[in-house]
Amino acid sequence: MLSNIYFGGSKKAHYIASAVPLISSLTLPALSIIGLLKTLTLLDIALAILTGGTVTLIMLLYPRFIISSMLDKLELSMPHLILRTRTLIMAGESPLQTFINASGEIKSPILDYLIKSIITGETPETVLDEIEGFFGKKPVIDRLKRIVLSLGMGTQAISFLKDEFEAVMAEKDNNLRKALDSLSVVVELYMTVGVFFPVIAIVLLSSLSILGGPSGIDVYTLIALMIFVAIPLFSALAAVMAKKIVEGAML
Amino acid sequence: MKVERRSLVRGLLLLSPAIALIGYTMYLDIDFKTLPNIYDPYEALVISFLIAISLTPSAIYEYKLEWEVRGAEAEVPVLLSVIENNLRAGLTLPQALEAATDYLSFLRRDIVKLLNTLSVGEPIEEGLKHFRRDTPLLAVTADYLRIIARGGEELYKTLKEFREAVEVIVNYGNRLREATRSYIGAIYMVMFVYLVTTAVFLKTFIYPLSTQATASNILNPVNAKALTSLIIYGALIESLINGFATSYFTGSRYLSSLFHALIILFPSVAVYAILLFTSL
Repeated sequence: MLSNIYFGGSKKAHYIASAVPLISSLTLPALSIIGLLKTLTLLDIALAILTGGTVTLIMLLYPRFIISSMLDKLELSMPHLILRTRTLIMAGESPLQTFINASGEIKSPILDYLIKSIITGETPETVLDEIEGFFGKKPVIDRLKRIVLSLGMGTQAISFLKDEFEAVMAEKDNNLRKALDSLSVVVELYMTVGVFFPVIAIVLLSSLSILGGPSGIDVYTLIALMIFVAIPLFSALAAVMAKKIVEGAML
Repeated sequence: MKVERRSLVRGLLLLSPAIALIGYTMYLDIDFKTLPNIYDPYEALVISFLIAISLTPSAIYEYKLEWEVRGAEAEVPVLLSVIENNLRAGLTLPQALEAATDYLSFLRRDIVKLLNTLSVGEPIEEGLKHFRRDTPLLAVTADYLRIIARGGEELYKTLKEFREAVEVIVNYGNRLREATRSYIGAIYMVMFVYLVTTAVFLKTFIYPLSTQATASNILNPVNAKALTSLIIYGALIESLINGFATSYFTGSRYLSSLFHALIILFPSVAVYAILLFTSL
């Protein structure tokens, strides 16, 4: 079931469960105000609210992240799905069976759900409507719908799938151009902050610490923090951004 | 090699620097009753060298995997084109496949295995179990060979269209790689800047100051060893991170840019070692 990504299998239950950590953390200041928890400091309360808020935010964003990842996987596999389906139909196999076989080769939770539902007797139209209802109006879901519905067109499906493949590749071309623009920005940022900045920081911090009078700042600890914590964290962030951008353009 | 086994080998090889680091820490603890000190430049050199050495098999393996997959994908249109021409000329599929082996290097082994299976009378499905399916394109190609083995004029007509579609996909992948190739050069350039700047800074400013100047009202004492150690760790971390990040920047399926990280790291360790042993 697609709704399994929500806590308890329901959107409403998920939102209610997500609010629990934040509400729990907000009860602390309330208890403190009415005098039941006198030992709490302002810092304790702030930390509790921050932790509760973060957990709530993560729980709220988790389904969105999973949905986005599912749609990305489907988008990524679309050219191969079309190519495989078209080729098998051209080879004389039954269109629907071909689509089921081709989808089985692709690791996509949306396709898995579609195939399972078709195999258990539901009509493709019903399942696709259900998928559209769950994910909302998305171009990739529209394309999937068109492909599945074209399977009922018999041999005409071959030329339709050819056009669809060309349309997907044209779209990919556009995405590639956009991805390369975004990627060059990320790479420039990465080089400036991840490589040039540390060099300048090391040289400046150590020179100034020698030339200036006693300041009470431990420069070596600062440099160590930058090298062992800040650079890896920033680079990991840049790598994740780059991966996301490149994956959208890859095949 | 099966995909699962390959993932296991990759994981184990990528873990080898961590294993080397744990081994070194245990050696220090048992023999000297001490732990690594991040402000000791000699230890920083040893650790950087250990990590570079232990990462070498992984870097080579990742580079090899990427190289083979790219090569195999690039050969798919050639394979299809030769099969198409030979089938049209009246040859059987095994004969067409055999003719294709002359034009292939990355896919040659897979095709030869397939031919060997066919020659002993096994069905093509059995032979295709050995055909590489690392990427969606290669998996589609393997499936297509299974279909084309059924024979028949109608099937042969599909060859041209399938080959053209595959060419579109391969060309698209090449364009992505061509466009991102310059990032590798840029990473080399920035690491070269890091190495030269820090080496000159240490040699001309920090080391003379640490040996000649004494603490005064305007000059604070300088800990040249601690600074050298941090700069060495900086080079190590920058190289490794660049290796991982560039693999993502260039759209590699494997961490093939780790190889470039090591090309940067080994000379860096050598430069800092010379600097350390001649100046401190």
